[in-house]
Amino acid sequence: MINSKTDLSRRSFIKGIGATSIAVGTSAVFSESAEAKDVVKAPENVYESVLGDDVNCIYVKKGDFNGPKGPIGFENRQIAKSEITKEYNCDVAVVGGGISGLIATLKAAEEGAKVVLIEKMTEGRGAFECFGSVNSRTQREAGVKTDKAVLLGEMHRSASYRIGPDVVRTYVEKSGEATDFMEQMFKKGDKGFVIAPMPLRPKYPNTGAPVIDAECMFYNTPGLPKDVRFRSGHVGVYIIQDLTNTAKKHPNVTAKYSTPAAQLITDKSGRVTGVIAKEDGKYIQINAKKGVILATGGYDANPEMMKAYLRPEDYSSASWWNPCWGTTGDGHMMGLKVGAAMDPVPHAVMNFTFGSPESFHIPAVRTLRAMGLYAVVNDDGERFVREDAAFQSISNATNRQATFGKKSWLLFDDTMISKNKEIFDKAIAAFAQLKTKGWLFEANSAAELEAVMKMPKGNLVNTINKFNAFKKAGVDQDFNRDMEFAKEFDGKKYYALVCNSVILATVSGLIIDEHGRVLNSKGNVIEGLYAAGNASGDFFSGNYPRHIPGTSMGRAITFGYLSALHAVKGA
Amino acid sequence: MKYLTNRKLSLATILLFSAMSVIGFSANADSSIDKMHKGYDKAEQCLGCHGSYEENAKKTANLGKWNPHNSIHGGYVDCTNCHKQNKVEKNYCAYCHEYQPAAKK
Ligand SMILES: Cc1cc2nc3c(=O)[nH]c(=O)nc-3n(C[C@H](O)[C@H](O)[C@H](O)COP(=O)(O)OP(=O)(O)OC[C@H]3O[C@@H](n4cnc5c(N)ncnc54)[C@H](O)[C@@H]3O)c2cc1C
Repeated sequence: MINSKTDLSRRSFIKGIGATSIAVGTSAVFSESAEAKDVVKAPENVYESVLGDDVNCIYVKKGDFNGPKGPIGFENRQIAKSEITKEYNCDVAVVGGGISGLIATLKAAEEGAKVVLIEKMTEGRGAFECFGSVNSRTQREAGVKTDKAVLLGEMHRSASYRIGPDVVRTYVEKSGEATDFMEQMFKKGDKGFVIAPMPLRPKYPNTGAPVIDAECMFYNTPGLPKDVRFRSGHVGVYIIQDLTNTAKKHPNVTAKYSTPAAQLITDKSGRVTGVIAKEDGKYIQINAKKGVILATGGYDANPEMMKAYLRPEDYSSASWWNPCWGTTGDGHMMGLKVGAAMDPVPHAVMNFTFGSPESFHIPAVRTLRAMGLYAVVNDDGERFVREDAAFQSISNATNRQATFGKKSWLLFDDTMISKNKEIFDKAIAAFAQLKTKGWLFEANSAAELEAVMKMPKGNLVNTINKFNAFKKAGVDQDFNRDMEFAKEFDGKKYYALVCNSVILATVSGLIIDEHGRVLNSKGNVIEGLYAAGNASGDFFSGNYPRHIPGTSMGRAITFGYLSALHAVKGA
Repeated sequence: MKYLTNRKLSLATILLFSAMSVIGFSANADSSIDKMHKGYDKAEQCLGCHGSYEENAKKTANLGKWNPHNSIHGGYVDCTNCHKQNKVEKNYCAYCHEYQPAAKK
């Protein structure tokens, strides 16, 4: 381990994230000075330097990074007063025009505050189809009763109890109110979005985790195009457009796009009083009397940050399913620079199974996921995980295999695709393309499949025989999968489809309190600074718990709403 | 970026003759355009000759089903995500959508 002392006033290290910064429309200019007299060891990168004193490095073997690269807004150097070309004054500045930022903007504006919203990209990030919520109007009227204690208990258990009690409790208590606010905002919009409870499946495999009814969706919206309705993540694009329009039309809102925030401004007392951003390549200063809300999302499109804060196995063999690349952790870094506390490393990543080597598997074969009847095996033809476990668990097991060079495969036969002829035919048609990419293998028997895939002789046949025996006996002796929801292999065709872990977002961030106020490492409030959504923390640990309904969107909506409310009203 | 000025001129000339096809999709042996792009690995360098993100987005407004340089997911992102020098190395759109830019000949 290295303990390095750094003196920020004298030194400015810009390697890493700062140096790769590409502000929209211009190339940033940096100064580098590396005077290092009384320093034990020079910081390796901006993560060390921004943390100031007593940085600890935990050594891990480097991972490969093949993900996307977004444009970084954060700047670690001192931006001089003389560089500011324009000043704006408002009550609340919101950084980021994704879901949490738009909800924060609209709530603050509805409460009468003057809001400046700045978004780095040409559009705010929209990638979701449903969201967690408890006791909203639509849920109450539909008679949905969420067992709050069970939900809260499962959130703590899933975080291995590494989180504080306040933020998750507040989510459970206030998400319904925040959902109702979003519903009101949809009434102001022109797309007529309708929120409705997400129907629970009548029966789930018994994975040991509780089945919790606490999720809403948008699919009852009249006139939603079919491809929007049934495409995961797609409806979010249109919701963000709708809320963006409503925000832009609001008399209290000034919305600026292609305007990346670079750093926060503090006064002598340490209070955050505004934010410096870049507009048309020039620095602007936004003074925010009541607070700055960081709604910048995670850092899934920032390779350096991923490497700094995640387990290498979580990204080294993964693919990405994150269509919007503004998420480069700028809010995390801006917060750290003014003394904010952050979730401990390694951070939690939202990873799904059912990935292709490029992204999530294409819609034509998603019926396989929906059926969930397949087994999962590695290159040796051996199972290594219960296939009905939550997405993140299968991802982790897949990554464990990949660490030792083994790919994962979904193993199924033609009886496990779909009984619906149209869906079945579509899947079969899609297989052709998957085969040419080397992602799918097909054979007439298990023995033939293991031969074409060059698996050790007998392994796959053995695995399938064992699996069928487990089905017959009703117990999976190896992984305790719920065999009621499995099917024996008895088809005419056998298939193996490659299965990756796929990254959607990172979900760890700055430590906040129940109002969304950012805390410093002593647990005290940094006045004037709020964080919401994936920029905020104290909610998850290890992984995003996909088996709990929609808590990432739910958190973003809830704390966008609550932070705005607190900034404006102080309560 | 001063050191790019000469290249800017010659690139402009080549652009005129190759009538809009700036980006090659095929991996032929090194052409003169390939050679000219050697050592140009950063987005800033791309933008130095090819103009701003906005200008590039304008040029590709009709490139198939949507504009790969200004999609509904929000731009603008680092050129090197998809491009390696003058080649499209990764067609990121196609990772999730059926999308092949209708590159003009
Ligand atoms: C395909 C897909 C499907 C998903 N489906 C679901 C789902 O159904 N349910 C669910 O709960 N979750 C889902 N998620 C996760 C969900 O998208 C996120 O958890 C959620 O968007 C987080 O919201 P946010 O407001 O915190 O951040 P984001 O939505 O990421 O928004 C952050 C915004 O801040 C902007 N920004 C960043 N830096 C700056 C800066 N310096 N200056 C100005 N602006 C900046 C970004 O450009 C971005 O627009 C899905 C994710 C993906 C990729």
